[in-house]
This record gives sequence, C-alpha cells and structure tokens, in this order.
Amino acid sequence: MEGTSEEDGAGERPASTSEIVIESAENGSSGVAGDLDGQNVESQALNSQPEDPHEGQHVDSKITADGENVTQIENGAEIVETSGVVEEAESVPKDPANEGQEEGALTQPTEVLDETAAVKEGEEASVVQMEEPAAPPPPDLPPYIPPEVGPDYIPVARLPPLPLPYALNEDGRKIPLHGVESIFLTGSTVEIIGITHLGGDKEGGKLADFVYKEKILQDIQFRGAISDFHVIKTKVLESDFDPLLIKINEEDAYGDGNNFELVLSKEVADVWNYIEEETARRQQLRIDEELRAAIERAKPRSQKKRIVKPWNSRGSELEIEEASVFAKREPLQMVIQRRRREFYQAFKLTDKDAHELWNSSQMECRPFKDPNFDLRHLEQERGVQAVPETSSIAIQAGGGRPITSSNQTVPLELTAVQKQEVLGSQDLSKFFDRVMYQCEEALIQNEVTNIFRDDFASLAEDDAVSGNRKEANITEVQSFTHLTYSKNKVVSAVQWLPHRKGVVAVACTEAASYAERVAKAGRPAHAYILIWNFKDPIHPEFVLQAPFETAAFQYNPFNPDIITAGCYNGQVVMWDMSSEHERIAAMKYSKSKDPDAGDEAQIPVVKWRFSSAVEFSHHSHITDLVWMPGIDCNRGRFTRLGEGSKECNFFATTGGDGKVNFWDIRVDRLMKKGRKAADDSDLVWKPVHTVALVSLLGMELGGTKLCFHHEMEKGIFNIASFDGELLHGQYNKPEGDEHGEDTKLCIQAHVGPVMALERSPFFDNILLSVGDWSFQIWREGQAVPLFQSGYASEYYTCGCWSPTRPAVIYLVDTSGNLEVWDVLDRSHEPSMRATLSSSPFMSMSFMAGSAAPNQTQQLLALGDAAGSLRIVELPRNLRRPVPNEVKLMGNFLERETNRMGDVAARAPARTAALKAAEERKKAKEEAEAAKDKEPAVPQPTAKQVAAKALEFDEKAEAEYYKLEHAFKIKLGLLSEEEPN
Amino acid sequence: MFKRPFFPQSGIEETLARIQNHKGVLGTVIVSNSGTTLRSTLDDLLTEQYSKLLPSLAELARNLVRDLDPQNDLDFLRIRSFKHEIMVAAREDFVLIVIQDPTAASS
Repeated sequence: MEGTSEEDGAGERPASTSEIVIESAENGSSGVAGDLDGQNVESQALNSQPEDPHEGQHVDSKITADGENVTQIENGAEIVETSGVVEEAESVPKDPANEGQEEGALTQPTEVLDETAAVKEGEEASVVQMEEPAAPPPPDLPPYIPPEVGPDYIPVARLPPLPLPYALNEDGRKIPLHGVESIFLTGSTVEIIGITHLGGDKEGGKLADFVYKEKILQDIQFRGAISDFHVIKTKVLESDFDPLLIKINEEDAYGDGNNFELVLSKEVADVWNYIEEETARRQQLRIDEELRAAIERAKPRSQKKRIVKPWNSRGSELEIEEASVFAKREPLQMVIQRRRREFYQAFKLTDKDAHELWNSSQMECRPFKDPNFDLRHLEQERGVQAVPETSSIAIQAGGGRPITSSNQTVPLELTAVQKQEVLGSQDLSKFFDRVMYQCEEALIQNEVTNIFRDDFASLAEDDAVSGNRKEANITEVQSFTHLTYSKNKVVSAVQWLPHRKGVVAVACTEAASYAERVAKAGRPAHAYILIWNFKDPIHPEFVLQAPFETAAFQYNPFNPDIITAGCYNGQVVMWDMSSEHERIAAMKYSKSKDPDAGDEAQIPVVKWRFSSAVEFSHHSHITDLVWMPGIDCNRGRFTRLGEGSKECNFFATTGGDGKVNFWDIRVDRLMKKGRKAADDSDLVWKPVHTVALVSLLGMELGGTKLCFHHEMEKGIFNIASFDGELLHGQYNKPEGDEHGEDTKLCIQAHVGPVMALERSPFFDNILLSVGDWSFQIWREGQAVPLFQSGYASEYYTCGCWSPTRPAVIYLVDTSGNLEVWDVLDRSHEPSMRATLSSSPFMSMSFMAGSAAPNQTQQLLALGDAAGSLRIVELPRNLRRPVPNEVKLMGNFLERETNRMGDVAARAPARTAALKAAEERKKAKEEAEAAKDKEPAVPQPTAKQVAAKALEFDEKAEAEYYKLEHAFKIKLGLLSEEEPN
Repeated sequence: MFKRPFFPQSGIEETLARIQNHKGVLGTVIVSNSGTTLRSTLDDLLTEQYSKLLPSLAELARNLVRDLDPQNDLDFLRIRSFKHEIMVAAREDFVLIVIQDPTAASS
C-alpha cells in the first residue's frame, strides 16, 4: 500500500513543482514585458539612431514636425516598420544588455516582430509621458478642451505613415511621381495664370492651388512657344481632370532648377490632397493628445488614469508550455482492506530470551552493527566559566523621611478584678498543668549541677598539660645588673613597683662576712635601691640612696611615691618621690641630649627624706618590713580605717633585736607636736608601738620575717627567727588586758634561720616557712607542721606561694635553682627544677597584679648573690590553676590536718609504749648487771651519769689507741718493742 | 471593702509557691498573650522589663522552630546567662517566666 502511495506522490510531485516553475517563468516573462515598456524602448531607440543613410531624408522631414524625442523614437519605430525582419534582426545583437533582459530567447524572427510591437507600444506610452507640454493656447481664445477619445483611439504616432508626394529613382534621388511635371514658371506666367499668392513666405502660406486647363491652354495659344507650358501642352491636354493642381517647389526638391510642379493626373492629385488633409488632421490630433496628456499630468496622482495595456503575446507562453510537465495519465487508485476482526485482538505475550528471539524468524528487526556506536569519546574538554552578573546601580536617597522621634505608650494593664479572673481561669490552670513539670525539671537540674562551670576552660587546660616542652619550661625574660651599684653585691630584697608595669626595685647589700661587717659597723656607708625598667636593661631608671645598707624595703601600696626601708643599723628610712619626678625627667632629658656623658652622672639619685632616730630604732639590723594598709594605730590599739579606705600610713618592721616596731609615716605630725624644727634632720621619728619578743631560749628573738594576718586589725602576726623558730603572737591586745602576753606560741620549726615566711593567698591560716634544707606548711597556731618536705641537697634561700595556683610553691636555693613544688602532684620532690643562675638566689618576688585572673604572663623576679636581677616567665601550666584546685588543696590540707590529729591522738599511747619498752630494756640490763655485780647499783644521779659517760669515753679512747697501735704494728710502721 | 472573688485559685497559688520554693529562684512572672502581666514576684521595673522582652523572644524562638520544621513547636526556652538562668515556658495563651540563680541563697 505504501509503495503505491509513494508512486502516486512521485507522479504528482513533479507536476506541482513544474507548476511552480511555470508560474515563476510567467512572472519572469511578464516582468520582462513590463520592463520593456520603459527601458527597452529607450535602448532600442538609441540603438537605432545611427540608421541607414537612405532613411536620413525621412528623418529630417520629421524633425520639423515633431519634437526631438519623438522623432528619435519614431525613427526607431519607422525603422522597425520599414526595414522589417532582417534589419531588426541585425540590430538586436547590437545591444547585449537588451538581449540579456529578454532571456536570450528572442533570436527567432517572430520574436523580433513581437518585440517591435512591444517597442511600438512602448513608444506610444513614452510619447504620452515624455513629450514636452504643448504651448499653451492663445490667451484670448477660450480654453480649448480636446475631445474625449474612446478606448479604440489610435494615437497619431501609431497611425500608418502617409504616402510620399514624390518618387525615388535608382540613385535614391527624388524624382516627380508619374503624372507630375516639374516646370519652371516665369513671373509673368505666374501672374497670367494667377498663382502669385503661392509660396511659403507669402501671406496664407499656400503651396498649391488649382489652375484650370483652359487657362494654361489659353496661355499656350496666346504666347505660343514662349509659354512655359508649351513643353507640356500635350500632357496638359491628356490630363484627365480639371482644374489641374499646381504646387510651388521653391526649394528645388528635384534639383532640376524648376520652381513649380504641376499635377496632371487625378490619381496623384488625390494623393496629394490626401496627404495634405491627413497631415492637417494629424497635426490637430497631436495637439489634442498633448493637451490631454497635459491635463492628465496636471491631475493629482490619485486621479491619474492608469493605462491598462492588454497583454501582448510575445511567445513566452510557448516556452512555458514546452517546459511544463503534465500528467500524462489518470492517477491510479488502489483500495487496501483488512478484515475488521483483525483489529483489537488480545495480545498474547510470552517471555522469550532475547537471543532466541533475535535469531528467530519472528524477529523482523534484526540486529546489525551501527558504526555510530563504535565511536567513543575518549577525551572531552569542556569548560564552564561562570561570570557573576554585575550591575552598577546608583541610588540617591532623598533625605528626610519623617520619623516619629518619640511616642508615648500607656502600658496595657488589667484591673485587679480582671487579673483575678484570669488567674482563676481554667485556661491558666491548664497552662500550669502543662508547663509545671518542665519548669520544675529545669529548676532541679540547675540545683543539681553547677550551671556556671565553664566546660571549655577545663578543656583548654587539658590541652595545656599536654603542650609542647617549650610551653612547660621556665624561661628567663631579662636580667639586670649594674657595674657600680649592684655588681658583686647581694640582691637582698626585690619588689615590683605596685603602680607601674615592668619596673622592679632591688636592694643591694655588700656580700660581706660577719667579721667584715663588725669591722665596718657604725660607719656610714651609702647603699642604694635600684629601680630597673624593662625598657633599659643597662641603666637603672633611678636609684634611692640610703644611709646604710638595707635588707628590706617596701613601696607604699596606696601611695607609690612613698618608699620605706630598714637599714642594717636598725634605722628606718623613708623616701618621698613626689618632689623628685620632675628632676628625674629633666635628667633623663639631658641624658638623651648628651648620650656620651658618664653613666654615673646620668642615673638620678634620690636621697632619703626621713630617717628614724637611732635611739628609738632597732638595735640590730632590720630584716623585714611590712606595710599595714587601711589600719590606724593609736596608742598600741589597731583599728580598721573603714571599708575601701585608700590610706596606708603605718608599717611594721622587725629586726635582729626581737622587736616589732610600728611606724607612722606622717612625720609632719611629729614635727608639729615636737619642737618646731625647720630641718627635717632634727626630727625625731620613733615608732608608735613596739612589741618585744622572746625566743625559746629566753633571749631576744632574732626575727627574720614578719607575716601579718590579712585582717591586720586582729593583730595576729607570725615571726620567723634566725634560730629557726616560728612565733605566733598578737600585738593588738584586747581591752583590759594591757599587759597580756604577746607571744602565743613559739615553735622550733627549722634548724637554721627561717628564710621565708608567707601566708597562702588562698587559705587564710596556712603559712609557708622556708629554712635550712626544707620547707614546711603550717596551720596557724598549731605546733606541728601540716607538711614538711624532705631535706634537699642545697640550702633554700627563699620561697613563696604561687599567686594563682593554691598548691604550688616556688623555692630558690644556693646553687641558683628554682624549684617548683606542686604538693598535689608529688610531695617527695619538686615538680620542676630549673637552674637559672650560677650564684645563689637570695630573694624573689612575683610581679604585682599577677594574682589577677586571665593574666597572659606571669613574671617572677629573682635576685641572686652576684648582684643580678633575673626576670623569668612561668609557663602556662604553672600559671593557670587546674580545675577545682582550691578545693583539692583544701582537701589536701584537711587530710594533713587529720593526719596530724591522728598522730597527736596516738602520741600518748606511743610515748607510753616507748617508755614501757625502754623500761623493759632497762630492767633486763639491770638484771644482767645484778648478775655480774651483786650489789645493786643505786639509781644513777645526773652526776653519776655524767661520770659514767666520761668513764665510757676514756675507756673507748683507750680501746682506740690500743687498736691503732696494733694496726700500726701490723702495717710495719711501728716495731713491736716500741711503746705507743 | 474589697471582697475577694470566689474563684478557686488555690491550685495556681500552690504551683507558684512550689516553684518559688526551689533553690535560688529569684522570681516568677506570668504574662498573658496580650502582653499584660498577670502576676509577678519581682519589683515593678524588673517585671515590666521581663514581661516586655521575654515574650517577644519566645515568639521569635517559636518562629525559628516552626520555620525549621512546620510540624514542630517550641516547648521550653532556657536562657543561661552568667548571673542566672531564665526559663520561659511559652504557650498560646500564657508565658511563664522563672528566673533562677542556683548559687544564690534561696529566697
């Protein structure tokens, strides 16, 4: 079925295409025809301008009659008309452009004819359109309206040409027609026959007129042979009509010198008449046409008459006919049918393997290899680049949208009754039922756990513990020493300035032996306290001059301009910096101006302002000095000035004479009270209160360190001594107990002088004492230490608590080591030891304010015995407390306390057991002695015991000598005979 | 003489007392959905601040929860600050605010 339809389609399709071709061809040809109207005519005319010479005359004659354009075109038309087929065929190839336009199909003669016809048509059109407008009619005449013409009107140009009034001979020259005689008439003849009026230049312009035969015959008869007509007498007689026509020939058209033509035959006369009439008629028609054309041109475009030209066949339709294809037979008709029952049948689908199916005969679509799928893209390069769309937008905001600057609202409130209503409503109780459980859960959770614990902080701490080694090391930041002021001297005291960062004050003493000191005693020897600034490690910022060497000094915690120091001779000195700052600044300025000046001259020296009266001062050297901030002392009674008081007027000193002196720095008061001395040096500055202390041996307690309770008004103090004692006492006596005992407890703590005594910054009643080769932790007022370290290999020279970690203690020793003890970590050895100096460390101090939390740096100043001050930075793990360290340390102390309690509780039993054991031993010895010597030795008295001991010693010595002697003999050093 | 209305309130009073007796509870405020304070144990200034600020925060939190999952809803809002914790139980009709500082002595 399909095949048939395809065939049909194939049969039809070409037909339709050919139709299209036909149409296009027709269009083409018609287009050409249209073109011919305008274009071809002109070109044709141009081509035909150089015409055959024998046509020239005709052309000339036409020129006068028509305008130039017309003549030319008419010429072409004439040529076509007259020359006919052959000439035109010759002329066609002259214009290749024309030929091309006519699709090269116009080589046949018939076509040429057609073409000429078209040219003629075109001529007419172009005449109509292109002619110059005719001369306007004379103004005096009414406007001439040319008569309308019908559709079959033939324009003048297309009318057949007029017959010629002459003939042409073989040479192409004009000769008179047959029946026309060219004659010469003299003037008399003209007058005789009465045709004087003829002539182009005469009035009327008539060229021809009738002359009766009779007149001519009379002339011949009358004049005889001299008559002009005599030669043509017979012809005149033979002429078949009368009157004869005579025409003037002024231009001598035939070239024979005659001036008239005489028509002798009626035929020619008719022709001549016709020519004349027709010429006149055509002239009139032309004028009419011109007028019509002028009228047409004057019309607006819309009213112009469109000239519809009938279609002229020029042979193109034949071509089209040849090119077109027609169905040569009727289309076939086929009917294909299928039985109805074959539609809509149920499917019977069964499973079958693909390969089985493919190979089977049912498989209509057999697999084949498609080469397209063998092509594989091995590599593909693709790129996508996303370019963000950008746009520049400018917005100018006109300022000043009005904004309400303030508004007032009234809070929405319910009245008490409404509130009660809502509170009692079912909704609220429902709400509470739903919410209550959650609330309570949250509340209980918060009670159970510590919601303010920062879990991240402890996480960070864990990191720090396992940090790198450098993090965990103690590093020296800076060291200071000065050639004259501190070199080879002992840094006996160190303090960070409380009000300035990175400034340390250092007191230096001579490294002199006791004997040297005794020798020098009493002679004034200026000593200096150096103020080191981190900015300049070579030059101290300034120095404080003291009359004697100072072992203890302190900046006033509230007024940093006040510095007090205790001297070796027992005097107390005070500096007042308030008037010195300007001088120091000026000196610094001059130093910067003149850097070459000597060092000594450039370090500002501040002299002490006041010194205490020697007779009221300590008798021995002052070992410690402590400020008492916020305390007022009046006649031995200490009271607190008030919460947040920023006054600090009192300080306490202790020295080797067993006294604690309390001093008031308001020396001016003393001055007013005493005699009005103009000079400060006349002033008698004496302590406001004194406490004398007695050692265990009943002598003066040589105090080394003084330690007050935080609440100083309680008057609780602890003093360490040169003999290793710790004294716990109270200087603020309660009312009514004026002469009570100062000393409450005195314990032999160390075997050597106590070098440091410090109260824990975290626990009020916990003290650290450092002496000999160990340190001890005390609970205040207890006779037994809570903790005692093992003996170290080196002598400890100083020690202090860590300001941030409750369980950490720093110790320095005589070999330049810094030991860090974390009693929670290990108690038998230091957690860390760093050797920082080759000379013994003598003093240490933590940077002021290092107890504050979140400090990123903890600096420790260490002064050694060689005069240099070393600043060390402590690592992070020593700086930051471990979580709950206070609690852990508290537990530790509690545990130790319990242990001590247990030991104390067991002490009587132990001593009893010891005593019992000793008695048993003694009884045994006695029993043995009784066996040896019957008389019982009476209980030995002390003297007897001493004698016995002496006896024992002598015996032992004798034994020794004996042994020695024997030994010498044995070695051959002594002969046996020689006595010893 | 102002006569006490006869509405049974004992349940609510009891509940509030129970909350108030927890350790460290600084105060409770009940605010209705219209923004009016129904009951407060705080002083006027604090009450005003809490009742002004917290319901809007709770509403914001509710919007957040519901934007994340339209089938979800805010159950309970706890704001832990350095000084105390604020518990906000916000429902359609009422908001209960409890301020607790467990370290403080029980009021």
